[in-house]
Amino acid sequence: MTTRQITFREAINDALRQEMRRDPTVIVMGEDVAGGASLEHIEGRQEEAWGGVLGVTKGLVQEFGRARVLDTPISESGYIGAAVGAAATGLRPVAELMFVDFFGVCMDQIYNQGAKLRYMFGGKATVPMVVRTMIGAGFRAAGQHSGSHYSVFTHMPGLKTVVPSTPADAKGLLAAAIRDNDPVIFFEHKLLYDVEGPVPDGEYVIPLGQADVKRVGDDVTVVAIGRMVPLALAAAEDLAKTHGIGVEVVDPRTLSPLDAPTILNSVRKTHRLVVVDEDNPRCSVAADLVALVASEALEYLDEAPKMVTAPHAVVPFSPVLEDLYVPSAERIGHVIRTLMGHEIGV
Amino acid sequence: MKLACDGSVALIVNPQAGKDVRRLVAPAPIVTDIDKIGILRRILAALDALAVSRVWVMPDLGGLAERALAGRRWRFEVRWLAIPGLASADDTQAATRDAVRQGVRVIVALGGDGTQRLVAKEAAGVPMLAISTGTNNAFPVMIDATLAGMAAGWVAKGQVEVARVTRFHPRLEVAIDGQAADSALVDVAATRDLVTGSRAIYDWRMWREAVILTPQIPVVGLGSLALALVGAMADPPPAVHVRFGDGGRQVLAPIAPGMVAAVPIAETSPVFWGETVALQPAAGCLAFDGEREQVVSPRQRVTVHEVAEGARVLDVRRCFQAASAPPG
Amino acid sequence: MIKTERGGRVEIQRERLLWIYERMKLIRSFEDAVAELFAAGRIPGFVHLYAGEEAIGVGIMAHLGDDDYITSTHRGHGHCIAKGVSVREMMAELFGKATGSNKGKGGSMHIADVGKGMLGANGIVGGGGPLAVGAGLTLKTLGKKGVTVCFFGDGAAEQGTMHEAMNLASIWKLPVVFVCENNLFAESTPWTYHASVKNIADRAAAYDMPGVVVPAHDVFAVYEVANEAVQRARRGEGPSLIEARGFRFYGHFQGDPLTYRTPEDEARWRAHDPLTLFRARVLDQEFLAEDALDEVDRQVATMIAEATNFAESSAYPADAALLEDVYVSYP
Ligand SMILES: Cc1ncc(C[n+]2csc(CCOP(=O)(O)OP(=O)(O)O)c2C)c(N)n1
Repeated sequence: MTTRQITFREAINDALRQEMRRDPTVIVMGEDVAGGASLEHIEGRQEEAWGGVLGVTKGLVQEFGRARVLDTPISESGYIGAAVGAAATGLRPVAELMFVDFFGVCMDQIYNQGAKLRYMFGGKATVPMVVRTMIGAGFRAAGQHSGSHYSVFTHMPGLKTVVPSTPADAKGLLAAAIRDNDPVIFFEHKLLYDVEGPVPDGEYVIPLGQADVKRVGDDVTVVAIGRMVPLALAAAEDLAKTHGIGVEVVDPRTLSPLDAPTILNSVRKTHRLVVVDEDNPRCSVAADLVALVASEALEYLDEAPKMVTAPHAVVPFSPVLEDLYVPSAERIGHVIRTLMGHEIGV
Repeated sequence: MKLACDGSVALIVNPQAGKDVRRLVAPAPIVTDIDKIGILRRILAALDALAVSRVWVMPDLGGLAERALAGRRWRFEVRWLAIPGLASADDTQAATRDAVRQGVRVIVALGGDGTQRLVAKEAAGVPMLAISTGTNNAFPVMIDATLAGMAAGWVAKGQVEVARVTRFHPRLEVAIDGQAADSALVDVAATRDLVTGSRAIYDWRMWREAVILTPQIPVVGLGSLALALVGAMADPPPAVHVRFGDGGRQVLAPIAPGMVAAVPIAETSPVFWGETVALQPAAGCLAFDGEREQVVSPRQRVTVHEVAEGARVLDVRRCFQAASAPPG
Repeated sequence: MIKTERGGRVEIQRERLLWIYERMKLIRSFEDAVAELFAAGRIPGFVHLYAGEEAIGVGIMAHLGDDDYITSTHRGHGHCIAKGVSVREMMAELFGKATGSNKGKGGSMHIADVGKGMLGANGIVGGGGPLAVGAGLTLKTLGKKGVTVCFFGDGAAEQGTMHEAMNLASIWKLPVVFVCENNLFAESTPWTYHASVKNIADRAAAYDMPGVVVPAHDVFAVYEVANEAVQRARRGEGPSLIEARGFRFYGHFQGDPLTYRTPEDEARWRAHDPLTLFRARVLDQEFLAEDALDEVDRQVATMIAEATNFAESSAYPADAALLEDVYVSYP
């Protein structure tokens, strides 16, 4: 398979384009996803159409037209609910919730409608929809635009949750999410958008529910999510060089469904677990993974599992505080070394 | 001349006027609650300024009058008219009856032709001032409510002479098998509808025949046909009897707001004061002033009788002239 | 059928009238039966009954087919029946049986039949508005001729979703008819208190669509208005809002102490029983003969008895059903 070096942002755009070409029932909707939906803008000055606040959907409206790339008013309940209704009646909508923090204004439509319809209707409805949404701190965007919050959605039966960490995964997983017949929440870390990587050309689909071992190692298993994956990899490289520690980095990629066997197998091999998660720690995916390993593979553990997460706090604005908030490669390295029994001077 | 007495005013508002099907089938005006409350407030403000002693108000289920009255201390006493409270036409009629019973000097009514017809049926000679808030407004007037309030205030206070500031609007009295059945202020139409449906008439193809009072000014609705048919005459008859259908001329007429149609008229005949017209026996609906009210069978004999002195209506212009006249 | 299309002639087909009566009667009898079964402790949970509002659902559904969609409310039994959902399956659903329309997993507030275009009752007040917009979007995007009718209560009219939904349907010119069933109360709160406007239909103006008020007890009035709104939507002229004003005969839910309304109010409204009015009207005008109506009554009674037997004799879902249908697939 030939690959191209493109950004995470372009990879998502690629996946949307690929699926929209393949299936005429796929539509994209959200605030500014076409960008300035006035006729003049689109027809006359096509290239200038925004394509989303960070340009992820740029160019789609030119190729697929406004009937399939819908700018919406600022009505998250309205249009995400509309995506549910459209999905239940024959379309495959990909709705964009600009920042995941905005789930507060539309959770009813996501959860009480989208996630529950099938079950409540005794299996007589399918809701093949995707909600794409931005996560993550590091943008100096403060408390209402920086959360990660995938734990909230992973908690909920009826939803699938996907958090890609590389451009290639973003493309393959988004394609799979769009083809999936259940509602999928697809989390995109905004600090990853400019990250480049090799992405397969042409049709590329990664099945949901398959973790990826991003780095093989024998001493400790680090399960990292989203942007924490590159940080964990950086920490792993550093520890290999400086301390000869073999870190295995497992990226679950989809949190629901979760590829538990890959994680458990890794822990059975390394006997140590560190979970790195940018979301808040209580009732979180990190806590869930620790619980999983504790209940399924306790006898394999040499040390108590560790969590490296954001604190139980709101994302702060001040750059100094925000940098403190997000787990760093240093913190990850530090925790791994502690777990390995290294004496660490302060 | 000045009468030394303080009468009272009745205020009747149909909360549902201006909400019928003609908003779906035609761009009929939407008169919102906010508009109606504003009209009521302007009337009340004028009555207050004129120091009217008492205002009788119809308590509509929607609370429009209540909201119009709220938030200000009025100098007049507010009394509520008795109604059954079913948010139906009965409310308007019952309120008017009560107003007459209470001895009001003038009734101000907000609504379209349908509402005014109900008020006129019960007004028993008490002068009425009809303010348009409905769809078809052949009868009520388009006027700023402040002026209406002042005119009504002068009448209530006896500051103008009723006979000088009112005139009579004719009425069409409908009898079925010789029994008085109903009456109208603008027109009586026989339609082909077998059910009253959503009441408002808007499909001219359903019209069979009609007796229409000749309006003084251009109006929307059946009245427009009368004007088109006889308006150009030197001395137009007070009403016309029209049979719809092919074989005669076509008249381009505004039959509902935003609905202009070429209506085929098979036959037209003038109707003079006091004359009685018999409608052709047929199954269908009788519509009064634009609303399908009653279903009739071919066995029933329907007659329409024209009466010159129907409703006593207040002429705002004359009120202002009279009020500005030096006392004498 | 009672054709009142513009330019059409009124023409009443006996079958159509019988259908209207049969559906209204079926809804009434279903709800009366449910009230009894609930009181007897045979139906679990809680139920919101539609009795008194039959003319709305039936008058509107008379214009819809299986290719048209509806979204419904917690008070959804009437919408289901009018849309053609099987009453046996509905009753079994209320009993929580495996043979229910939703395999016993939805209950009263979630009865659905997507195949019949019934996109579900909804336990969330105002939850259906956006769904209806979505169904309308599907119809428009795929170039289909169908329409979507969104039923919502007067209480739901105050929910933000309804405002968002009406705005969306308007800017996208979707074939959606919004039907506000104003039964005067949201639970115990009167609409005169909770609504800023006293005609919910007024709100249509804010979304640049027509708004019409129609009495909820008169099926002929609802039928005519619905016909115009549905045809308008089918012609691609966009959404409209119908406010049908009436009364629910039962309480908000079964067991409601009804302290917020007086027996006199109730008696006055009950005098406007849509079924009684319909019967009187069609008999008076000799559209239908009394024995034909009586025959419908008998058939309906049989259907209800049969549905109740079916529900009672059906099995509860197997334990395995607990984990079924959470997802289409979940590796
Ligand atoms: C979001 C939400 N809030 C509150 C409720 C509780 N609740 C159920 S029905 C109802 C009243 C609804 O009134 P209305 O929309 O007028 O419908 P009606 O019951 O009169 O048919 C309320 C408050 C709910 N189910 N969902």
